[in-house]
Amino acid sequence: MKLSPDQLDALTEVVNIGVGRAAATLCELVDDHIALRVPNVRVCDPSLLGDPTSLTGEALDTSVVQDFSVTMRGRALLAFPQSSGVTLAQLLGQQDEGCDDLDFDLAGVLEEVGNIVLNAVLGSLANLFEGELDYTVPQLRAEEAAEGIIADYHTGSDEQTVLMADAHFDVANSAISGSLLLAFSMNEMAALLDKLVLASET
Amino acid sequence: MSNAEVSPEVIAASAAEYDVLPLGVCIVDAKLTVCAWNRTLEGWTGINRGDIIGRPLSEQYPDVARRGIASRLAAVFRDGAPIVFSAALHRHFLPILQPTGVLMPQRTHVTPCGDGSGRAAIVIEDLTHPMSQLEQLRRDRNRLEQSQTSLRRQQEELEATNTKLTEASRKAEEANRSKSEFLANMSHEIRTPLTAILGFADILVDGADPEAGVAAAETIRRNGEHLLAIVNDILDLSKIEAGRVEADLTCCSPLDIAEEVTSLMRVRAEARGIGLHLRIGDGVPGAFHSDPIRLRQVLLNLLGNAVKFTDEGRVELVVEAAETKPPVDGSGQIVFSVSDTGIGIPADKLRSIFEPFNQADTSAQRRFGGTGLGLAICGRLATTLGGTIGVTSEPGAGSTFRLAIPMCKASCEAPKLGFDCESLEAAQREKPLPAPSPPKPAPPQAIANDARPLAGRRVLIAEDGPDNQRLIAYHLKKAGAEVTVVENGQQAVEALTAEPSREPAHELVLMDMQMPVLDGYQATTELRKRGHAGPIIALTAHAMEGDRKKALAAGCDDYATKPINAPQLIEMIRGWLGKSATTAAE
Repeated sequence: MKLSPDQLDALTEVVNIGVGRAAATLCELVDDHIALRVPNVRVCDPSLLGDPTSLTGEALDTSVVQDFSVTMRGRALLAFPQSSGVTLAQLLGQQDEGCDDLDFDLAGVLEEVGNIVLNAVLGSLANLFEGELDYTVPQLRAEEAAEGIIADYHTGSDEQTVLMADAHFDVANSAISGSLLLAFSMNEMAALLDKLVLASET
Repeated sequence: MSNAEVSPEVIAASAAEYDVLPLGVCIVDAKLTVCAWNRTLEGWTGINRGDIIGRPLSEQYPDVARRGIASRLAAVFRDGAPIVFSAALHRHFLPILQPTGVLMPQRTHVTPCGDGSGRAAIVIEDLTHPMSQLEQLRRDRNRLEQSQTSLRRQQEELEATNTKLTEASRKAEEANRSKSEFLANMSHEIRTPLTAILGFADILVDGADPEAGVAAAETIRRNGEHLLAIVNDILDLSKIEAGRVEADLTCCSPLDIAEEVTSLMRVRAEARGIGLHLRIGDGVPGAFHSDPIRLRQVLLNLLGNAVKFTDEGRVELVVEAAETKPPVDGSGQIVFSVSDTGIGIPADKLRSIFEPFNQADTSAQRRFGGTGLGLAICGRLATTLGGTIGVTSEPGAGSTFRLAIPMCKASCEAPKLGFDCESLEAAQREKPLPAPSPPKPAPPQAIANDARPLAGRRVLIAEDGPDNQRLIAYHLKKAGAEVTVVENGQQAVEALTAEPSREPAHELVLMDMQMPVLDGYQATTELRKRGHAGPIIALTAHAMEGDRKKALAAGCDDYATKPINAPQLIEMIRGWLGKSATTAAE
């Protein structure tokens, strides 16, 4: 599926609305300033996803995963290279840096952060449909490639498409990069784009 | 909402549904009024469901009304999206005091009930056990990592020890090999003069004519002196190695010592047709403190080597003053340099020539005798004198040995500096040299029946030592043999391969194994390669185990050691000539 520049701009804006809400929630949660940006969004076929990597070139092997259904059906991931995920969790959880292990506490923090971001972005998309979504409880999946988690998700015979965006967190003077990945059916993507057009016209 | 607004049926149904779970479950409505409180929560909190259901959760737990939590709980009801509260960020979402007095760590998620009731379930997981398990895992992992680190360290230490042991083993093997080579050489060097001494003594005993008797006695004396020099070298080195030699510092003149040693060596240099020169540089003091005996010994050794290893050209002794590096107040060095235009030393031998049991050339082709201890002694004595010795050399162009010792220009009226040196002569007086044991006489019956057992037999002697040439030739001629003497292996090969095939000029070869140009091993191998089938008897001063096998492996038929036992040697020759004749007849 190829999107026009206008469609991509509109999609980016909707995602960023959700991202902005997530950032506000994170700030409230840790009582500190946190900036979260998703500067560009792209759409691709899952088979072309290959081995998605972060801006630093590291493999995305640590993801918070939530499935959603009803109005739209699909799978959402906030994925990081493990070292970046650990650093983000350490900064937000105010834990000592230096260790690269994703321990119990850090996994919980990362899971909560992913939950906040994914809920906000999915909520923003759901608002376009003026409908509700059912969500699964977020789950952290470590040491597992993001593209494999996307490939594992099946929604029947519909062709799948993946919305992918770089996610930049600025926390305590540190910049951390991850990726936001949303997999859903081509038809639903088409419907989403229709809604975007309608929303932009109004 | 109050207790009265929730029907008892709902409460009972909720309790029955969630009581079986090992999780704390609290059902709340959008106003966070408690609708259900399962048995697990009752147990954890001590709050009976009847006391909390229908009451605002914030009554018991005011924190749920905090901004950061309340807004997210509100989002659950607004958006229908589940939320999680991590243990690290919300360790005590509902503070629950454990029997241990510690608050329970929790992971909490809040999810819409999905039954259209507009309620949400707060599900609390007790992380005490998983965290303690995790802690245990961490401790185990740390211990494992420590063990691995310790094992790695031990492995590294073992590898280092192994490397040291391997190196020590290599050095031990090398030392052992050097010692074996040394013993083999010493055996050869001692046996060679003994061969002449004992052999010419036999000639005297046999009653030689007066002229031959005088020549034999002179040969015996010359070889005896050579043997004494070898023994002295060994004793000298032993004393130095044992730390029993100290410098006896006294006032002496470096110029006098240099002139003296040059004068002593001049006769030998002139005999070899080479020039011997002495040059004194600027700044050399007229007198200094040193041990003149040891200094003279080192210089004589260096000059002796230079003359010995130089066939043509010149040898020069240069005495110079030099600054120490770094300079030390009131002191400097006197450097004695002995240069020659001799054969030189290969680069790979330069480092080992000052080591005992090492010689620049240990091969059988050595043209020059000697114990191989002279430079080892010089090196030790240089240290005893407080100085150093070194060498630069270019094979084929010559060598320069450089002895540098402290100048010590103190007044020669000063008392001795406390060194108490024991002279070599004193040591020799204390420990007289043991007399060499003569070889056991051969059984007389060997030649008793035949005064000329080798009459008319043609024997080729390949031997480089003039004394041994004369001695062996004497005995063989006396036994009736016709003797031809050549000086090295190459000449032997030429003499034998030039023979007409039907009537060989030489029926048997006595082959010395250590000769210049081409040694006995190479010559024998070459002869056998060229088809020479006649008997070859190895004759060598190498009497170490393995020498016999080595000679036979080279193609020799038999093996005789020096000093020679004339009757046995003649019997051996006769035996081989008999076999040879039989083989030829067959």
